[in-house]
Amino acid sequence: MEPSETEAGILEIFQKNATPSEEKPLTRSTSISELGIASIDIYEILFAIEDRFGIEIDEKDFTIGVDTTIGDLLSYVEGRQHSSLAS
Amino acid sequence: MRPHERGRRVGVTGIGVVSSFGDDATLFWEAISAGRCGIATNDFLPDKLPGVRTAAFVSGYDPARHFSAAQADRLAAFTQFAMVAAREAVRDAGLEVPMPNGDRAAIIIGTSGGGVEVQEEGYHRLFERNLSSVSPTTVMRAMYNAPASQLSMAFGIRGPVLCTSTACSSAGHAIALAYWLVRGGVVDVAVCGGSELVRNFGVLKAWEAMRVLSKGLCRPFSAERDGCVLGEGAGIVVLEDLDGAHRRGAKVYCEMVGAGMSSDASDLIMPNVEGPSLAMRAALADGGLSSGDIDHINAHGTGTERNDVVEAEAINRVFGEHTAGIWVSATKSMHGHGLGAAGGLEFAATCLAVHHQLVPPTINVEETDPQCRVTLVRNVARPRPIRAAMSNSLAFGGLNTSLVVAQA
Repeated sequence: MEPSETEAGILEIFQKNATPSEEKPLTRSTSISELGIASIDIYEILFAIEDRFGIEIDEKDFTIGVDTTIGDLLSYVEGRQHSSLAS
Repeated sequence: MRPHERGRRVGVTGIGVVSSFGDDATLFWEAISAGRCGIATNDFLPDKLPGVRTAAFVSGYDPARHFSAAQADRLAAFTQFAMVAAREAVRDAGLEVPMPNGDRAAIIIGTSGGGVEVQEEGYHRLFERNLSSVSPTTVMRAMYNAPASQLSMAFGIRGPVLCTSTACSSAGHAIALAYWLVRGGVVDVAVCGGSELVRNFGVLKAWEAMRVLSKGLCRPFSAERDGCVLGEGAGIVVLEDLDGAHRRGAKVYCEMVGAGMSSDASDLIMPNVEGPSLAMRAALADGGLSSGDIDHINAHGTGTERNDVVEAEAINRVFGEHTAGIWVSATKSMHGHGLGAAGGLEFAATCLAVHHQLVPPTINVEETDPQCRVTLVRNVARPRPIRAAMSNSLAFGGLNTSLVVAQA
């Protein structure tokens, strides 16, 4: 299945900031904390995602924990996109 | 003549430049020693900047040649310029990176405006697009010490690492302080100079509003001068304990022998004669030199009506009967006024002049203004024995520096 535009966009932003290894390409199941990204860079990635998709990531609703994957972030972003469309 | 009693001798062992002539000190020297003009018609929002007719913006610079896309995103332009020039200077000096004795090394990089485009990007979001947030990396990109900190990490330098911000003397102050640190034995090596971005709407608007910009070319000390022309980039040098440099067989461009600082303490914009005189005298005294020891001055020479008259008068006051024998040049006529980078670009030019025993010219000058009683090297570089040379910076705020180098 082709990734959605949102998924491709999020992966592209991670790709640019995380320098993933060739053996383990970034996918929906990649754990964000395992990427070893500095906290400031995580904030910059979230900021870039907000900018790209015109949404706000509310820290009350979404925080990155030990097990949080790129897929979890994608689901949250898609949810925000739908709720902003509905309103 | 040598200031043995003042501490260790200090050599200039590396030079790096980003300027309107490209991202390379060799291109810079080739251009200014050939009297080429790096000033062009302003191509940046010319309709919105009617008072900025000309500029010497950095050209031939491609971030992708120096940084990955992710790195470049994290570095304001003035930091990129500083890093490119500093890498060149350290490579030129033949120093190992990361430096094995990084705790015995210093970095001092001056800037006048810092990451101006980063601040502008944030304001654009907040006030024009009515967005509620700015990039989380705004502070770390915009802060004035970003170049010093980035270079500290890049070179493994862990001693004194700081930034100076004194408008157009920012780099002069940085180099003077670094010189004293090496001479005094606090560190063995110092990477120092200045960096500036000018190709920015807010910066250019602010300078346009001051009405000090030329309608065309920069003609320092000329009767036809009508203002300064902005430039940008970075000028960075490596200063090093001379004995240590000799021991490792390093090439030495010249010896740095003195530095002086002063403040006009009178007006933010209008310079007075006493301030720069004091800085030049202090630099001579610092180096144990007399007024007859200087053969060339790279003047601050902005091309504004007031600066050039005041600086020429100050030179006469300090050097007296020796003034006519000193060959004066204002290389801003070629690379523009680089603000926080200016003192670095001009110190690089001065070191290279001493190294090559060739005085670069002041271009665009037909007749020297009779009010400016200095021996101006006009339009074409001229060879001469240069025992020692001085580089002046006179900043808004009335803050002055003079740096002196001698033949190695």
